[in-house]
Amino acid sequence: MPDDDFEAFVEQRYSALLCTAYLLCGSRDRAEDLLQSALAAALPKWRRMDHPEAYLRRVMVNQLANVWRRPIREIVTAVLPDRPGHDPAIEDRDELWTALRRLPVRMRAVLVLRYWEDRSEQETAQILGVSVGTVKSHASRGLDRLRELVPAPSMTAANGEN
Amino acid sequence: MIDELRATLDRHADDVRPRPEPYARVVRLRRRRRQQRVTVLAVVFVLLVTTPTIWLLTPPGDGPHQPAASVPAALLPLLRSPTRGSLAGDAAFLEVMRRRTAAEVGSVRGNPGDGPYMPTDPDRIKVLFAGDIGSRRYVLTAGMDGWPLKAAFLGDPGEGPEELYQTGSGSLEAAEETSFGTGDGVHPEESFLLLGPVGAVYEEGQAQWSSTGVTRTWHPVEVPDGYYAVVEVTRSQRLRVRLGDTVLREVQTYPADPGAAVGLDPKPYGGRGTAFPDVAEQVGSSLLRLTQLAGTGATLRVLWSSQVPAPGAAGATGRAATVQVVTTDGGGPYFTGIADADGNWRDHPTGSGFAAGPEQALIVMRLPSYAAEDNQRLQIIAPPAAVRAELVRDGQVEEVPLTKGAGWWTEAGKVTATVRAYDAAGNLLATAEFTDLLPPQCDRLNPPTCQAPEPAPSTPDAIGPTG
Repeated sequence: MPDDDFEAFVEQRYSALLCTAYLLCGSRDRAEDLLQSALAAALPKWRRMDHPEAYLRRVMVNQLANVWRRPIREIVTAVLPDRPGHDPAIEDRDELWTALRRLPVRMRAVLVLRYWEDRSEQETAQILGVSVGTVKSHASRGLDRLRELVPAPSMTAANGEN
Repeated sequence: MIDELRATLDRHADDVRPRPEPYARVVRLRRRRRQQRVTVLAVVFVLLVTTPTIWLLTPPGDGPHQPAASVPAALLPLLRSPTRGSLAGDAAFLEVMRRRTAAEVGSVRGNPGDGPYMPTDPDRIKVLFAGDIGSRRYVLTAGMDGWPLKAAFLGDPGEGPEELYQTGSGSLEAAEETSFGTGDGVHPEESFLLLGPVGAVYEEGQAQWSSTGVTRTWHPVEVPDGYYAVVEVTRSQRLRVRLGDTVLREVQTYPADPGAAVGLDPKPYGGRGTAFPDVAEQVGSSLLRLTQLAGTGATLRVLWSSQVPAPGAAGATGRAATVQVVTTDGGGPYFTGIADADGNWRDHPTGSGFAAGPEQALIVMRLPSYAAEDNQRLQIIAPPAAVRAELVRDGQVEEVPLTKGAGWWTEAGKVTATVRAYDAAGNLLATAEFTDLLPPQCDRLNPPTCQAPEPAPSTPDAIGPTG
């Protein structure tokens, strides 16, 4: 089963893919599980795969959508942070991040792929296995939804409100 | 909006760190899944044949919902306690949660070789809590073998066990704490749960702060349901769970709403830096919450405030402030925070602690960073009359000029040094020992967490059984 190419791919791309997984699901533990699961699914098909990164992203999004089938509203941190006793007033007051976690999985995936990975609409559509129109619609509605969820004053003057 | 979204995603992605050996873990996971598929029929067959025999031979008290002998002793009281929460009596609900945990968590975190793990057999999983807290339905499950993993699920009241979504997993502790947001995103609220073993005593601590530390007086808290829950956290509380003489866990709650403005004078003491009222206000507010002094009329003073470099911050700089609570002996706990141009906040473990009054205190800290690497700037806050500081390391002495008692030097690696501050006449005003090498869990406003070296954790052997 071990495959040198696959091993090299994992070593080189794991951190980047883990970032994507984390942005998709909002939990570090869950991101590791999600990526590990997707890589385990990819391993037997590795030699036949033309676009492994696209495949992995699609598997991760599908896993999230299938398991949760609902927006993520908040995350319970099961593992203690590096430094306990931090004040949420300072560390956790990130309204845009909180709002992002409330979006449906596929809408959130479109925003992550389009605006964090800088994928084109075409690429995003191919990765997610949906039409370009769906990507446009999800991106537009996702941004609209974020504007609704994040109050305007803190979007423009976020000092002290992070 | 798009730029801000990109910045938010960048910032959170920067904090992601992979666990070690990702490839080896993928291979193990793949192998395990293949083995599971191949053996599933055999397992079913074996179970059909052997289950009646095992049932007949198993001594009382060691049944399917009892923790195994291999579980660390400190966790046994919690695992042996009955399920708590408003749904504790709903056997069907609990059964589904055990099955879900086995299938969704055990399937990916079921290898004892990977550390804490979740069994794949629902009968080896315990539901520790199942119930509604305010506007959330919360379920906490844990494995009962070896080094137990816990898993948490959340949903809305009234939702069935299949509808809850898994929110996280981690190593089980002797008493469990969780908090979760329950607001609508615009009006944040926070709910809180503290869950210890049956028979445990829950206590709330009242703190007395001084320039050298904190002492706490503990008073029992009533827990008629066997756990402590707060539907909406509106004040900061210091709580602990005790079983006999052993403190299982000590935690602090934080309200989601930062509350009213603290109203402090933003001008830094002795002219040490520039006033940043909004930063000072925010740092002061945080300090009061960290010390549970919010709403008590405690007096605050700004010790230092300045624009400083901050790697990874918007504009690569931030506005920093160090604020101190003035206690009866003139000094008190202090806390340092920094905000960048986008309003994002950071602190550093060395930026908080206890200090005497500003005419005597010498504070040394590394400034916070917004990137993976440390901020190279180390800040000195000395008595305002100080004009220079000496850094003494390995017999070598370096000088740092001070303006009104404030100065800095840059250094990338971890620093341990004795720092001395002198006035213009060469008189020694103050001395401080500084180190970056704090224990990983160190919170300097909670001194017991900074005692070093840390005793070896009582985690079990991840592979073999433990007593």
